[in-house]
Amino acid sequence: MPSADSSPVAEKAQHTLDSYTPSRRALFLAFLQIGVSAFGGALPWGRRILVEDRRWLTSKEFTEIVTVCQAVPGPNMVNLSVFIGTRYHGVVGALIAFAGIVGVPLAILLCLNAVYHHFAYLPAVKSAMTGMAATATSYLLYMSVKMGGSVWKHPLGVLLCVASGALAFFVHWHMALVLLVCGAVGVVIAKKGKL
Amino acid sequence: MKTGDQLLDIAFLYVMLSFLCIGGTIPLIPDMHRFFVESRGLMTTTEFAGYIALAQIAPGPNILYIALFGYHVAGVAGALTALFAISFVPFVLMVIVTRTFTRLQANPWREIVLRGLAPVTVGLMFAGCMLLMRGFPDWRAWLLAAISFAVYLGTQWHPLWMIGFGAVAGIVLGM
Repeated sequence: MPSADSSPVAEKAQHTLDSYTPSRRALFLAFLQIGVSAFGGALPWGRRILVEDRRWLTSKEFTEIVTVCQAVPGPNMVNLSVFIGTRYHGVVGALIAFAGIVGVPLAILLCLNAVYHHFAYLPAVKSAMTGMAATATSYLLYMSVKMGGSVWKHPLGVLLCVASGALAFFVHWHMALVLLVCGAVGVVIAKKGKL
Repeated sequence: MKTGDQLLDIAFLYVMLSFLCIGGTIPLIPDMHRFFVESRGLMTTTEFAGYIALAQIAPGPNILYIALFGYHVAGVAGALTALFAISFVPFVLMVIVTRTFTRLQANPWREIVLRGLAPVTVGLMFAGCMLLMRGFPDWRAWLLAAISFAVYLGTQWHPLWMIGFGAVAGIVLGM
């Protein structure tokens, strides 16, 4: 995680979403910066670059936008770039922001992948990959526990979580069916204030 | 299968999955695993997990492993197809939502639906993790996973350190 530094930034004016419109070039560069600096989850970097460095949004606005992005199907970072891009420059802005955040990291990853495949025949590379896959998988597990957040405080939430996981893993239900059935149960429980 | 058909196959999968993509793409892992490993037999679970790890050590939004699955099947065209297919519907929806932002924000159902879905998405994430763990070759992978899980839980260290540690440990243990 980045440490709080760069004091001259503190003197820049704080903008709000409606008070300031960055140019298309600035929009592209901001999302390019988020893309290439984001290791292990891009949202914290989005906040750092858009709120703290560029000061295009207030922290509160950023949080509100993220909550709305989460309510719409889609990868969070795609949704965030489209939201902010559209807000500033319409559909063109959305394309610019999306290209900014995805383009360069995709090129880097494809190169990395090519290097990996070039050396994949080496036993050491295969071993390193197997080891990395194990620790990366446990990071996903950790993210799942953390994403649960307040779910763990509600017995019904835990039950529903276990049921959804079991239906997908043991019973091989498709995700759509799990979301539909368990999601409906979840919404009913949430409506009653038990979640 | 011809490349063109495979591209369509991937595009169809991801356009469908993008509608269900609530709470990130990790809950989609069981369905992606079913498609690439179980149903189409395009890769092994180890390769599948390897691509997820590779995407984590590279910068960028963590959806990019989806592009790697596409690349594995059909090269650069596959990578781009996968990425655009997962992004297209959300892109259109978000452009619409942006224009009705304040109304959606004020809608009390937004909060209720999100709360209700949270346990389900987390359950699906667990299912994805269990699928990947079932592909672990032996006890050494389990040991590494257990050690790194304890570190993620107990420290504020950046995850990259533990993923790097996994690579070194993999070589030392000759996994």
